Amino acid sequence: MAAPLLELENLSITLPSGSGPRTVVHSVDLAVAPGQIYGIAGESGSGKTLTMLSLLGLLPRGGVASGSARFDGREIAGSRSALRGRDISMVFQDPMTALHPMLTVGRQMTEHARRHLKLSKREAQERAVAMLADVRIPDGEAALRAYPHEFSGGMRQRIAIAIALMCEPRVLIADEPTTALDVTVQAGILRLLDRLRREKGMSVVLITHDLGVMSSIAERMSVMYAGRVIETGDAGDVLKAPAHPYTRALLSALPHPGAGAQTELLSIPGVPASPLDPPPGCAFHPRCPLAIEECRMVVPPLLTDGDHAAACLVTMGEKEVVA
Amino acid sequence: MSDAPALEVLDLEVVYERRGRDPVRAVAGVSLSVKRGQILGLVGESGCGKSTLARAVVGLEQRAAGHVRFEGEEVAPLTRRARPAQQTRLQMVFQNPYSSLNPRRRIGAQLREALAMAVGADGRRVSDARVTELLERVGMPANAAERYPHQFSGGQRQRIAIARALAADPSVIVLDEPLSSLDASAQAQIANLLVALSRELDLALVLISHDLAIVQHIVDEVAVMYLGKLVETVPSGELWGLPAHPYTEALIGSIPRADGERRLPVALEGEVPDPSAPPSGCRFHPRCPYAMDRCRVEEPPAFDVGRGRMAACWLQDGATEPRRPAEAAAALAQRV
Repeated sequence: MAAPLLELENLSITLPSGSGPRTVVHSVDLAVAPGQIYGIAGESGSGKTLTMLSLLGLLPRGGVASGSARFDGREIAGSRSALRGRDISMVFQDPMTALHPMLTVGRQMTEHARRHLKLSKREAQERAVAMLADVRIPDGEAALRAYPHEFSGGMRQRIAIAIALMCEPRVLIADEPTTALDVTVQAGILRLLDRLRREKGMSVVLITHDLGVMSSIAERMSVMYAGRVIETGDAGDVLKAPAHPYTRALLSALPHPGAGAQTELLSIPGVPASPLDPPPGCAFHPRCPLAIEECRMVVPPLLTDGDHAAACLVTMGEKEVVA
Repeated sequence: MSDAPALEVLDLEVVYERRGRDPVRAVAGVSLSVKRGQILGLVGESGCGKSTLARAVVGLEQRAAGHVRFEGEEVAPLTRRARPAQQTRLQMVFQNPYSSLNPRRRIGAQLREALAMAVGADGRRVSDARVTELLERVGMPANAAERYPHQFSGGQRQRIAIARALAADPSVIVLDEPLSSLDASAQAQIANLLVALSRELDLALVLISHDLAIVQHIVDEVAVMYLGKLVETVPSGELWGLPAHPYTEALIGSIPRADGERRLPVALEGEVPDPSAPPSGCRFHPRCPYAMDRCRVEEPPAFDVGRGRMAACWLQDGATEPRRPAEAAAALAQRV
């Protein structure tokens, strides 16, 4: 693999709580190569978004990140100014909160591009029209003069993506970018991200709870539960042969296309562990069908089988601890 | 169980008038029916009119034309007057249970009120046992009655909203996107609950959703809606392998599969057109890979394509059994 463009090592995040600081993200390691789509899966509250926000210096007030985060070899953890506008962009789930309702799409698209790329107004507008065409917004000239509310939800999300791509970031962090969209629109956006990866060598960190979305474009992936990475590897390996009981449960809770009428959907018993107050030992043990006594006491390390690692004492019992 | 439909919708139209602009026919003539013990799924992209249809069915929207019959009686749009007692047995569950439950009242009080309204009695006379029974019916513990909506997860709140609909002893429940605000595991639980309730209580359910993958697990029959019209109705067992309408086929192709194969889903070209100016002929023709000359000028009727299925597509003209659009197009090309 080429030298990673984005690399997290032993990244932990603590947030303040009523009873002192609590660690909510535990020693996350992750390496994204140039032109790679890296997926992070997990339910809400698993820490996947928080981990990425910390890279941009966007932790909630009082949040502290420790460990190392490097972009292109440069240390960036905890320092907002270490990154430039052309390094990393982020797209959020809800386009209505990411777009300013009172400013035209044109202003929102060109403002940062003019500054970062030192473009004239005219150049920036031409670039914006081209970008809108890329995300399949017809009549870009008119779209630049319009306000966000004049577009449908799917178009707003595509505009938010176009804004994030204006400066040709080397890494795009996309947090549930298609969750609020119809599958037909989602398919278009997934194809666009894949095209940008191929044509421009852009890396993408894709945060999603949808393993179908993950499967369609991610090359590598990590699954998070209660603030820890519990499985990581080549996305095909993880999805075809999941090693952690949580990943297995997530996959079996998915609807099976073509299963036909009224086949019962499997669900994971219980509720997701709170990262603020996780159960002792393996955080998944209260919901795990394979749990043994040891799981209640020991936090399992990531155990590796070649390139594929999972933090489970039962399914990975014979494997080596990841160095 | 009688064979008469519990709910029947005939040529329903809902039109939104707009000052200075063309009116929007959000529902442009839809017919469907559902029997007790049956679950009908209504799917389509956002803006296709499925939620408007749901609201018109229970009387929350004025209709411009057509009929809605519940247990044989015409459903009148809601007014400030009380609805006929019989029609309270037609219930609705909304997408976001947090906004449909009163945040400042205990769950028990809200269920007790719903139970009392169903029999026209005073809420204080409803026994705790009835409230407990309702909660248990939806898989909630009895002590949930003492708590407030914010103390529950999204999935639990949706269960409570369903319990409140059940308080009216309904025969039909219309559910508008009941799963879409939930994560995968909670979705599966609510989906299984709906199937069990329909069976045990002999309920007719109309399930509105944009998520074809999950809907086909739950329902008996799927109705696919595009731009205010139904384009296909199909038993859910046949949906995946044998879609007859090109739009249904496109919807299925755009669903990403979690098979680890890294296959990009197929994107449907173009946008959903402006419903105030729908395309001529077949509404789907500008986005349809099989569009023929006829499709641009003549609107296809609802063809009976056999096996109780309907498809509104010229490719199926004269079909005696349902065929995939590509096969139908190839057969048609041979004939010419």
